[in-house]
Amino acid sequence: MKTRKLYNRIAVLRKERGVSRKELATAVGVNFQTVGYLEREEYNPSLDLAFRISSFFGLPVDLVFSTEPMKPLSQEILKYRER
Amino acid sequence: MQQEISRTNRRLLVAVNYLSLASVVFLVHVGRHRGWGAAHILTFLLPGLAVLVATFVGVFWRTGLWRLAHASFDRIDERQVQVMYEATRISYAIFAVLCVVVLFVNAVAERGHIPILIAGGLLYIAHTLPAAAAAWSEKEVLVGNRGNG
Repeated sequence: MKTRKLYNRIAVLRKERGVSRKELATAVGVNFQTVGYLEREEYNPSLDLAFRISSFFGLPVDLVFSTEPMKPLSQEILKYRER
Repeated sequence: MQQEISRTNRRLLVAVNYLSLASVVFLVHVGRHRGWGAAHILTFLLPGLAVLVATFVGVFWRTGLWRLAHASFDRIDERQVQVMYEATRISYAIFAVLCVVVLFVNAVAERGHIPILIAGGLLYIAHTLPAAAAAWSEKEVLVGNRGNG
C-alpha cells in the first residue's frame, strides 16, 4: 500500500526550543534515531506518536504535521494574526 | 560519539560474513570426504571462523542490529517494529527457499540426513538473517548503538 508523505516542523520546533533529539525521543518514548527519520521526513509516524510529539511542543497536530509541504512558521504566524 | 556505518560497508560486511560461513562449511565438508587430517581442516577452518566472527561483530553486534532483531516488540519503538517486520518478512522468504534447496539437493544426492555442518550453517543463517536484512536495507545504522538499531 502506497501512503502519502507526511511533512512536519519537528526540526524547526526542536531547535527553536533548544531540545536535543535524545531529549525529544525520551519525552515521546521513541529511539533518538526515529526522531532523525521523522525530521528528514523518511518515516510517517502513527497518529498516536504524532499526537505525543504535538503535545510535547504544546501545539495542535496540524501545526506540526501536514500532508502538504510546510510553509515557514513566520508565514503561519502572519496568517493567524490576520484572522 | 556514535559513528554511522555506510550502507555499502554494511552490505559488504554481510556478504563477507555469509561467504566466510559458506567457505567454512564447504571446506570442512570437502575435507572430511577426502580424508584430510584435523590439522589440515583447521588450517582452513580457523581463518574462515575468524572472518566470520569479525564481520559478525562489525555488522551485527556493534551496530545493535543483533539485539534489535532479537528484542521484544514491547521494548522497541514503532519505526523499529516496522523495520523488523520487513526484515523478518524478507528473511523468511530467503530462508524458506534455502531450506527447500538444501532438502532438494539432499534428496537428489540420496543422503539419509542433512550433514550436521549444513544444519549448523542453516541455524546460524536463521538467527542472523533478520539482522542482515535490516543491515542491508536500513538508511541509517550507527556503530556503538547497542540495542537501538
